Amino acid sequence: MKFLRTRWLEVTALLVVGAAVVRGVTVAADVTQGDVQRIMYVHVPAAWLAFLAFGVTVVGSVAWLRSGKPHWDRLAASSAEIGVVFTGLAIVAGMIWARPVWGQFWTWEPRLVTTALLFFIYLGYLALRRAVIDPVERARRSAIMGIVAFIQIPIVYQSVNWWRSLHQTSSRNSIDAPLRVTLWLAVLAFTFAYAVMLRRRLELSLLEAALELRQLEGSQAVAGAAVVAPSLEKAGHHG
Amino acid sequence: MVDLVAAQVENAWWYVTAAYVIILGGMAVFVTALGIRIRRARRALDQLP
Repeated sequence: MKFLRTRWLEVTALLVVGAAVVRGVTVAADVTQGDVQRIMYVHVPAAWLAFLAFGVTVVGSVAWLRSGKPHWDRLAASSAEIGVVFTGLAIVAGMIWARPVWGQFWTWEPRLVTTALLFFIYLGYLALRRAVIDPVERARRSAIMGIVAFIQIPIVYQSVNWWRSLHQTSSRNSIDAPLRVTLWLAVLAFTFAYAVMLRRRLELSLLEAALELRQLEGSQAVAGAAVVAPSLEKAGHHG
Repeated sequence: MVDLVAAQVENAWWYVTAAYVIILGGMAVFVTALGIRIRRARRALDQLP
């Protein structure tokens, strides 16, 4: 019972993901694309989760710039990392679908190119976080980048409408009800999976922040109080 | 046209299986890696004086 109380989110996520997978492989096949269309039930939710994750990064970035509270910075960073993972997975699943449908894994068409750009922009965001040692400056710079980078999301989303694209437009309203229900179930399942990942990643961020603070205190004990490194935890509002 | 070509894919299930394994496996690997990083961070915190 204690396990269920503490791990209810993980258990729920596992059950919903399991149900979505079973539904995804057993629902009627698409009339025109056949069974290969089932890849949509993992490809679309992965892409949706990437958008959601980067949206949460924007919220965390804006909130940190306004309040300077360290947990917003941790939320932005944690969500961005998960977003990068989901973007990568969405690209790979899309490539597997493209091979039988388009005849090749990759083609330089707008949706694929803008999504690849999105992936590398947020990889850059994660690299920026590793490159800046000062935690206050790191939070400030990455908050700005987290907000600016989000511009890429509507570009990716609209790329199939703005340019002549090989990639199909949104399937949300053009597919039959059983397929649509399966797609929404998969989106729900992936959202639960995101919640599990975010909780774990935030737990890690908290530990990393504590570690950084303890190391700072340790170095002060050796070098004296005159040597003070900036601390996000101690800084409060950065002004 | 493209859709009609796709309907003739003979080994569609191989592609479907590969996509599902990579996506679900990728998520599982990420969660496992997070668990390992959390454990390492806890150990590093405990080892600090």
